[in-house]
Amino acid sequence: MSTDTTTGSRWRVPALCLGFGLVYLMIGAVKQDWTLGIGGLAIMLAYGALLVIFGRRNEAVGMLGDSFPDERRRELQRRTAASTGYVLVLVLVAGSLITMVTDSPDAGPFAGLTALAGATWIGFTIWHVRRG
Amino acid sequence: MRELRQAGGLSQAALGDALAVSRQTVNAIETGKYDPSLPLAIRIARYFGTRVEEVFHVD
Repeated sequence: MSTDTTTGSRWRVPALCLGFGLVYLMIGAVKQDWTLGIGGLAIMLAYGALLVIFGRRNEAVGMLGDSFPDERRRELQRRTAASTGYVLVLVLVAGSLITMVTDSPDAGPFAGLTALAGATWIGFTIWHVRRG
Repeated sequence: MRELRQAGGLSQAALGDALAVSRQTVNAIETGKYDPSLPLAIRIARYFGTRVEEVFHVD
């Protein structure tokens, strides 16, 4: 038998999907917005089902479901997280500049988030350098 | 590594089980898409009863 997945990790993310889906449902119920509530629950359930059904057949789907993180998959997850971070920082910097130039009311939040991203970047650079 | 595995009559999944890595990771190492860490390279060499430099080549 291949150790592609472990039972615990195979169900962790789908269970999280169910939890988030129920949170969407509760928010929808409170706001009387059933498109948000039912739609959010349906999307999260569909995503969780996708992870369970295809997680063993497709490595990328399996990784989204947190299956069997050996050293290569941990490295892939680190690269994925870094790429996601680069894109988000790029969006924040571009958004900050555009909102500043156009005198948008969103300039403040964009500037704050960009500053937070910069401080986080600097902080983690120092942290990782010190840890070697 | 592929030659050693095939000589032992092992599937990628079986070798993955023995080394505690996924079948896809064994495949990625064999096809040169992934360079294993030093601890994993040593584990692979020990599993086949040989030395790291006899399993992996820099060129």
